[in-house]
Amino acid sequence: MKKLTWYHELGFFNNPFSVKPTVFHNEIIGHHQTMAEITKEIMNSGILLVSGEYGTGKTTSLKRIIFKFRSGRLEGKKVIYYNCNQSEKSIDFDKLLINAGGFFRKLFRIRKKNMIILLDEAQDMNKKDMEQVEKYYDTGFLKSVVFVSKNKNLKFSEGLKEKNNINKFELSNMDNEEAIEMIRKRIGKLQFISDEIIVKIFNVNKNSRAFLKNCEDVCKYTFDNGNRIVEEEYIKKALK
Amino acid sequence: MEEFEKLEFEKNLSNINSLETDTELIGREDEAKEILYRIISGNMLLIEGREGVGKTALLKYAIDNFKGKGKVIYVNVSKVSKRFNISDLLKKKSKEMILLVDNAQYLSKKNNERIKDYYDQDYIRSVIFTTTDYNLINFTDALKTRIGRSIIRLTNIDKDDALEIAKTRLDDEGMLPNDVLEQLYSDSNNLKEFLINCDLLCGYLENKNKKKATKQDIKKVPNLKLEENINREREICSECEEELMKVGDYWRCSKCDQYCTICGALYEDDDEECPECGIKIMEDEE
Repeated sequence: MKKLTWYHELGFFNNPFSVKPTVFHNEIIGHHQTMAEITKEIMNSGILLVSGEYGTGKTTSLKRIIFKFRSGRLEGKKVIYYNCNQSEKSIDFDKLLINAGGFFRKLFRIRKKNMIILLDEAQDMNKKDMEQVEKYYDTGFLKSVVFVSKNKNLKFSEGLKEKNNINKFELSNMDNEEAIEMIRKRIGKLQFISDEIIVKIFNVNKNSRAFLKNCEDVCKYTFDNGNRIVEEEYIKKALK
Repeated sequence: MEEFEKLEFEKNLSNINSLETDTELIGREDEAKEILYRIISGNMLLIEGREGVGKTALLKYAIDNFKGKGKVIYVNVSKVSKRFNISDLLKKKSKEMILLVDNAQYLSKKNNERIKDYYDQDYIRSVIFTTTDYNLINFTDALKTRIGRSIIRLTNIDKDDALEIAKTRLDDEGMLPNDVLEQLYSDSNNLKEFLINCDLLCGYLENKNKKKATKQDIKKVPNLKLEENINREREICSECEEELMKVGDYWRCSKCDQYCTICGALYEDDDEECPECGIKIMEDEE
């Protein structure tokens, strides 16, 4: 890289306020209670619906689940992550189940059983997909199903509704303490930005993704103006 | 022999193909800095600006700075078929690609979602979109929140900067004196057309064996893309009153007309091939 950025000056190699869910995949801040319940529910072979607005951390929570249930190479995967907006047509569950297995299962095209499936952007699923999920859940190929959607009222198929054991979780925005914790996890104890300033930036927009972007913009603005410590006046100027 | 070859230049002086010229960016220093930062820090960025204002030139600048490692993908969405799938470009699945999307207003919703997905999984490090109008873009909300405030709105560059660009390319031959360039600039619609006009004027001078241009010459050159000519060329759809696009030799409305995207000829619902250029018609799946 020819030009160093503000975070290079501070000694970071990567952007500490990156909004990509994969970058800090094993550190999720907030939703502690919810995450514990979700994990418990997955162990109990339940069907779950996780909902939340844009940027509240839905995909990030999923990454956390994948990390928790990850396993070695030989035995194949325990968790399938599938983003429903990838495909134009219906979801091919057989293919997913075969690919999840290890070498021999792939060779003999045996579908793996007892899988946990995470369906991201589930609002894009059609009726047929829902019926398929129900079928595979009933036959034991799927141990647990996690639907992730931005709206609370996902259209489940009749069969899934009848089971009446769909647990709904809603992710909401963080509170002040969690906001500080999140930033501190990323930048450590460096004092170029104080806790009060973090809270002030957080209160501009409480959405996690917008908050991270705002932090980045404020820091960039501060360093571009030759200052090394973020002051309150910069928040307004940078976020106008 | 081309006009610029007669003058012993290797390339056309006023080359307006933004992807081929390698002159430095003039008058866009802040924007250039911003682009580099957004790419390095792994953000999404949208460049908005009218036609010919220098959007693609900024992308070229990004390519120049990150090329050579097989990490940069440039795609002009207005030139790809309706079946275009962004995953085909990312097939090798190497991580941290830099994606440059020119004319993003033509991007389909599916490709929107795909970009978001690859970006989240870090196959794409950062994305730069360009568009003529932010409101035209059919970005999903998921993508909009990822772009956030990172939008550069380009306006026409200063007269002085435009003249400097023309002069650096002319190599100070003295063919087009300052007052002629100034007149030409104020008559032209945007930077791109200003450069085209410089080219046409040089060609005219060459034909007449003149060494130096005067203001009177501007009026004598045929086909100059001056503001008055351009305005006459804009046409509006009689049904929905949207602005028409020029496709091949025809003016077509993207909403009301059913036309071949390559030559612009109209076709019927049951046609399998374009009646004029014979290319196979691909129906949009949505």
